[in-house]
Amino acid sequence: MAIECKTAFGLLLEAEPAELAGQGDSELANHVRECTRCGAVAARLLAGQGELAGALDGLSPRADVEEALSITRARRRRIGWRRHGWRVAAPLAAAAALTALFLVRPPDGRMPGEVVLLPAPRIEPAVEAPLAQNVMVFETQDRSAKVIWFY
Amino acid sequence: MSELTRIGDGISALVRGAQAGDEAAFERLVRRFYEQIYRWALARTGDRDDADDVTQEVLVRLHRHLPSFDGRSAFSTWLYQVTRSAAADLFRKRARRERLTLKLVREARPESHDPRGDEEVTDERRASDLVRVFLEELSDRQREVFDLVDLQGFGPVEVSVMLGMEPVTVRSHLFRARKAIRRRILENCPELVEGYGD
Repeated sequence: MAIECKTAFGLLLEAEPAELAGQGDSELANHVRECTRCGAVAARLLAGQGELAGALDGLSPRADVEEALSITRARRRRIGWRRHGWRVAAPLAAAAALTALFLVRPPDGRMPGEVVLLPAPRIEPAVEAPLAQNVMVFETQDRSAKVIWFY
Repeated sequence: MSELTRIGDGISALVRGAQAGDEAAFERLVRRFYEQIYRWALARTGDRDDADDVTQEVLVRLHRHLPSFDGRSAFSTWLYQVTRSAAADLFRKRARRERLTLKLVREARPESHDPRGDEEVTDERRASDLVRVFLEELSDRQREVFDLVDLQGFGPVEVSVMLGMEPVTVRSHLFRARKAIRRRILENCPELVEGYGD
């Protein structure tokens, strides 16, 4: 035995699983093969790691794979709708809005949003003739314009 | 052709099919890797509920990002990166501490008597104690490396690629994790360690 048990014990805590199994030509592997006590420790360590691996293997996802696939499909549809749904939704919304505009007319028959020109209020111009002159006011076809003649 | 090559070829064919939009190929790929993704997520998060959430998220991301997989790395390596990324995002979003607190409250409830034999219960308790150490006492990196190398059999170099770490860092995490786990294994067998001294 090239190394002592105390040294071997320290090495056992970090050794490769193969060395714990006494495989290979390292000093530790040789020691594990030859020393009963260290061999028992190494065997226990390997068994413990095996128990841990087995316990972890026994931990499965709560959803089985078919359920997970079904959830995945549903999530993909939702994501797809969020990303690309506007391409369908926007034209549909526009079409619905236009339909509503034509179907739901107000009682006065005008279309919503239609621009209506109200007649401008008539305001008689207060014109005073300058000294020694007369004044005449003429209406024009354009009701917003008048001709004022001083003579 | 070796068994490993055949398995690799089978996965490559599924990946190519899924990339081309073959839904059946995608679902077979998921069935093939589902448990593996969960295990990676568990090692990454250290929490079963979080691992469930991450696994589900990975399936959605797998479908979305599969077209970007160019085959330069092994598919499993690429998928592992997707899992890590999903786990990292989950950590950002979730107040994990709240969940752990709830779990501690649940675990603090008194246990009922177990009708099984003492030896069976002891073995199970010993294993669940190790799982607890694995999930709660190792750091995220230690847990991840230990699980990949010692429990799942990936090579340290492959793991260094998967985790984007230097091989020497992988080994450092691995040794620390081994020490923590193995010390706990031996704590349950005091008769074995008598006489070694400190």
